[in-house]
Amino acid sequence: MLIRFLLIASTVTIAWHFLSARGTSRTNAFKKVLLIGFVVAAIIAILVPDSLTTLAHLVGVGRGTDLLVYALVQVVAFQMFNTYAKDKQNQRQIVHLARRIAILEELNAKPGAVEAMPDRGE
Amino acid sequence: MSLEYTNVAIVIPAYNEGSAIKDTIQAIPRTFPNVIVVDDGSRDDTRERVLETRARLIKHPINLGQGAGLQTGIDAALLDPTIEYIVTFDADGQHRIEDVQDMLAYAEQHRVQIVMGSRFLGKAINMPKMKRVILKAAVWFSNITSGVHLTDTHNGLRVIHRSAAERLRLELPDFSHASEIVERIGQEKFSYAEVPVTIIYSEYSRSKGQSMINAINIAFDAILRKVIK
Repeated sequence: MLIRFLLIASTVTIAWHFLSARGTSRTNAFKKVLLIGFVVAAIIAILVPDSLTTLAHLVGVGRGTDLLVYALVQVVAFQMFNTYAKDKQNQRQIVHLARRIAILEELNAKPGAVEAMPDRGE
Repeated sequence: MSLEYTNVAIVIPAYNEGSAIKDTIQAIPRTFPNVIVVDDGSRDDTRERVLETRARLIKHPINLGQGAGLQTGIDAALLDPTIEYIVTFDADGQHRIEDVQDMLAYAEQHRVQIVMGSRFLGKAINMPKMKRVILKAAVWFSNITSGVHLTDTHNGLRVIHRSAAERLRLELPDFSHASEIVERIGQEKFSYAEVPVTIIYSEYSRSKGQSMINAINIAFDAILRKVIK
């Protein structure tokens, strides 16, 4: 079936992109292990669709597709939260950086020097 | 009163306050030699107006929010080791310098680290009714979440002693900073007091005030901070 080929190809491509992204911290290593686990699970689920349904029955869900949807919702919600937290952190860093610039700029300006910086707003 | 307040820095965060900032600065008597205006990336002529005065001007390269402006001003003021008290002051001219003098006298006499101005102990002239209701709700909410008991939590007029200012470290860039300051008082166990002040709501300051709907954001953020971290 063509769909199996397509799904496996896209899964492997996505995983490859994530794995080749550089990063050396421990959380990154942890993420990579998880990712490989995900790829293996995805390929099994694609090649043996019934395995998902068996797993679903095991945890008390009617169909494998339902289980997949539940998992998807969880992952998306987690991802959103993650992005939100990351965004807050970035914002904080920007504030610290901009504050530093603002104070240094004022300290560097010689008394009586003309304000020659055309830096309105953004 | 002709005291020289050389150990006091007045910090004024300003964002698009071109039409009021100059009058606000000029209303501060020369007995307060240290006036620091933090321009928060204004798009109007705020910077030019400030440069016409004696105030120090610190310019945020981008708009960061009022809380960030206050913290920048505090950081800049603390660089001068002779500064003992930092006064936070709104740019729109709603505060009176007499109140600042009262608050400073109170802080000196009672050795209090943070003195907050309270319009509900004092007077609020021409305050819109809706604003009163929301502010009262904010006070009630803040007293519950922070464990600090105040009658007016969202007053821009504060006197902060150096020992507290050094540990304040405001991180919330937007208008949540008023709640954040109160929370920090609770966390750091700063000694605090309230002094009655008068706030004059002009047409201008009413138009500049933070929008009421923002109260929802602030409340939600405060709850969220309790849950996360």
